[in-house]
Amino acid sequence: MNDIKIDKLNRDEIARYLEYKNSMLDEAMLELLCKEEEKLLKACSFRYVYRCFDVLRQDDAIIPQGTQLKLQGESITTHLKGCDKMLLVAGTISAEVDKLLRVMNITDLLKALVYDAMANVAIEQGMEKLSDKLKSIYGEYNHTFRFGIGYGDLSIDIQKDFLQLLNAPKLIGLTVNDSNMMLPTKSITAIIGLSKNELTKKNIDCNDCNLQGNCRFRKRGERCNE
Amino acid sequence: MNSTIFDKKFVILDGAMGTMLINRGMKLGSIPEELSIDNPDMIIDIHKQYVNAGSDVIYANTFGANRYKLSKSKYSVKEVISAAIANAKKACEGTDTKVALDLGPIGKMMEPIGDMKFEEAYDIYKEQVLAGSAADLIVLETQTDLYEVKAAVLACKENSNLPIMVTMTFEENQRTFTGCTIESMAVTLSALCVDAIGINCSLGPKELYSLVEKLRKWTTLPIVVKPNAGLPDPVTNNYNTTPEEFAEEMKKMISLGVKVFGGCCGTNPDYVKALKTMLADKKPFENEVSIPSCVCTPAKMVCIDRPRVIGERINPTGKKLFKEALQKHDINYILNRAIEQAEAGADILDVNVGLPGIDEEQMMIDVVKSIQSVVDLPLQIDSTIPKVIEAGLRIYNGKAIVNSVNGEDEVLDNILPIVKKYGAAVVGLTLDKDGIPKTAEKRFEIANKILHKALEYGIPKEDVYIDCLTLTASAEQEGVMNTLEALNRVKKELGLKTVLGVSNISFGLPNRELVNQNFLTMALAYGLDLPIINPNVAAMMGAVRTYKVLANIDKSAVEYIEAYANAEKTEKPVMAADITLEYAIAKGLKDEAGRITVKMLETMEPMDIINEHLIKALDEAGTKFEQGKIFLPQLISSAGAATKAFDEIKKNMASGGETSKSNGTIVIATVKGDVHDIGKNIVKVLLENYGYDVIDLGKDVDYQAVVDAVKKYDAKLVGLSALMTTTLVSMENTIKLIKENNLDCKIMVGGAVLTPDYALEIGADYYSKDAKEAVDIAKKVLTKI
Repeated sequence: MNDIKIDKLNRDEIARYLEYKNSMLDEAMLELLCKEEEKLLKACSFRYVYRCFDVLRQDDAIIPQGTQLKLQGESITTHLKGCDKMLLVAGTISAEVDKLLRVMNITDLLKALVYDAMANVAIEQGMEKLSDKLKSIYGEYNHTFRFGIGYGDLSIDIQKDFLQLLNAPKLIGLTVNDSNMMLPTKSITAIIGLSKNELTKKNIDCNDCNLQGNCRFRKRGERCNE
Repeated sequence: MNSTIFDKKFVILDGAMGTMLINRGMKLGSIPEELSIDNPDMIIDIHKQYVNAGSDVIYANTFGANRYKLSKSKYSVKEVISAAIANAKKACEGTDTKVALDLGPIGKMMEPIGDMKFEEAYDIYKEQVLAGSAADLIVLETQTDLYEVKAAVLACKENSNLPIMVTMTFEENQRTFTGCTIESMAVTLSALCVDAIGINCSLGPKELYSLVEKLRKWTTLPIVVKPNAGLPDPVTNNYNTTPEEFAEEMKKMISLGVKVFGGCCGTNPDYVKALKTMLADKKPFENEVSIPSCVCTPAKMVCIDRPRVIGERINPTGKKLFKEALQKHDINYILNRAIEQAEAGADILDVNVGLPGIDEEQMMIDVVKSIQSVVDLPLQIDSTIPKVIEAGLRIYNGKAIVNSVNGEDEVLDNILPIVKKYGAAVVGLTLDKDGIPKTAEKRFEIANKILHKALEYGIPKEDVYIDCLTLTASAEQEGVMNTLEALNRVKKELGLKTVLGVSNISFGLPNRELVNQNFLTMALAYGLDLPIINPNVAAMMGAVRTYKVLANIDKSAVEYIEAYANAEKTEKPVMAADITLEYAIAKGLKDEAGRITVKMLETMEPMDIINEHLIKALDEAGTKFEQGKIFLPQLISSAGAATKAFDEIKKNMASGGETSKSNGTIVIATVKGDVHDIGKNIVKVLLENYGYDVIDLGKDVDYQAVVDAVKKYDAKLVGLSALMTTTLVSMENTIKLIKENNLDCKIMVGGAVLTPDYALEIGADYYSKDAKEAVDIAKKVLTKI
């Protein structure tokens, strides 16, 4: 699907990716962002795919009903606690952005850094919009946050099967390489739990993450979920 | 082409296999191809339904039967494909229905988006083609990457004699996910001489109409259409078109010249029956089109229907820095030349990497692959060595030009078969073993000979471009008009497109640009189609743009106005007199840094500028960064300005025959499996600023390549970068291999998920938290005491 458009990019988020510590972008940078944002957005084409499954709990795993995908580990079990259904989602801002990043990496490193930050924000914003859309489609449920493949102890090795299950290579051109790195690079996969009951955990914390607090945010005393 | 299934009036294919399997309870996420062995009766039954419904061709259940997708299967590629074809043959027994070996995309992204190499894709398809030799034809379907298709087509042609049909999948914007257009697919695959091409999947027949309408303008091959049963409902996944509606929409395709009909996702034997009924009383519609002279990449089509500029800058002849870049395998230098020319308005780029002492064949492969990862312009492979030309054409994505052949039989017989095989256009130089003829008449005769030889080899006239050769006006003044007269005759009498390298005309004369520009204008008026020039010279591009206005080609001067209307506004601001190099670097003012350096070079020694100004300014930026007074983007801006200053110094030293002193050589790489290389690139720029020779191996680098480079360049320091936890293993393995080889070098590592402890654990000597620290480490390791 490609009905979600990414428009204005959040400046504060860009500042975070650019590692401006107190989020204050200087004038030169703001000017650069104004000039370049349009080009990045033009290259972006946000495509997504999702499917809803019943949650099937087996001895050591959670299975999207009717599939052969096994989700194992404490983290995903906790994440889907109390959920009857789960949404498997994948989104990408597509290969054209990767090409733009390649060109910038050769011609202008500052722009490469800025485009990289903008692209990170763009895919996040796209996924956020998708989450909102799913909240209205599956309005009778409470939704968990997006639990990424590779978060906590959920093995990133399921990435290929996860994408295959969603038919993502064919439907949105999203694949993985042998290191389970998604290609195009600016892409996100996640699992959203759906429950009729009130969910206790609202947001991701460091224990959910495969970096376990060893990320660039924590290295400078911040958190990504703040 | 021997007689094939496509000689029939119409050809009816089958419908979906996947949809039928899911309806029979196949679990999502299982491997459908395994059913050919585990449940052959079910597969045969589905095939039979299609045969009975009227399919002339059924696709064997081999869509995903490749090494990659079957990696977790209990069966081998050969087992799965043999069984699938046997099932399909069984279902066809007693009928004329043919069996196709069906090859879908591998499922992994190819370079440059992904990391699957062209050669790897070729091998994967080759394995399938060999396993499927019992089929009656080969179908490549649901393809989205023209590059992958090219690898597959070569694998088919080089390992089988079966007819090949290719269908690709487009989105509503008429492009595939990888950006390939319909016309580029049509032109490239027609030139590669497959037997039928078309579109499958993507959308329903109604939505595909306009795509097919476009396709028919770009090919004379039989056209295939195999749409979905309309569009799927986002929640239920059911398709919205009935068999009758489907056939009704498909009927409209007949007048577009479509010859091969079938159904994709959501269709079943009822759709095939409806097609059969609909086609029963119809007559095929001949698709009579003439395809213009053109070359392309997946995303860009360049028709030679007006003057098109071939950029000449990727060529080491007479260029010291370019030669150095080739020797150091500095691909980025070459890529900058490519991007620069593209931005200046070139339509096609000539690529010549011939230099004594380097492996020209490998260099051609590396350069062509790299250029097509950042620039959409078609390329002209420029070499006289057949194996270099072949290496370049083989991995080129699209339809290229070969520069060049000449009138010598041996050259023609060596190179034209390669041109034909890879579906390229070719430049023929009007010279032979006796050299360049003086007269226009003789040059015309050679052009004629080249044309006829090309036709003999099956290369169409539209793909033969003739270069009547520019002589130097200062030495052979009377020859100038001979060139133009020959050019004019070739164009008018032979109807061929013409090429001319322009710059040679002014050799030995003062104010060369003036001579070049005027000769270019004259040549254009005589009918030159493809001037080979330096597009960065404004006067040359100006001559082409002006000609197009005056010759009534650029209608309403749209291109001309676009190029020049805002020219005044974009003029560079005048530099304030009191800006110092230190200030320009601190503020990241690139252009100013360059201009100030040029000025300083008039009175100062290059090394003094470096030591007394540049390094000081960089140190200061580094310190501020460490103190948190400036942030990464500002540090990079400063580094960028310093790079500009260094470039000016290097140019100055090169023109005086000097080379800059190096503080030592460092090999850097983003490790195997990792494609994020911005961090590594930042480190590179900073290290270069501090005078280190950096050998940048790029991203997704094999362990062995790092070892080889350390040996080759005798590097005492290696920098490795990894972004993901999953690629830290590659980092560890690379370090292991370096140690096993007992190389006398230190290793520094960096990347988002690394910690100092982990760095030591995997055997690195240093952990570098950022680019500034990498410089500190380099100073420590490489400073000669």
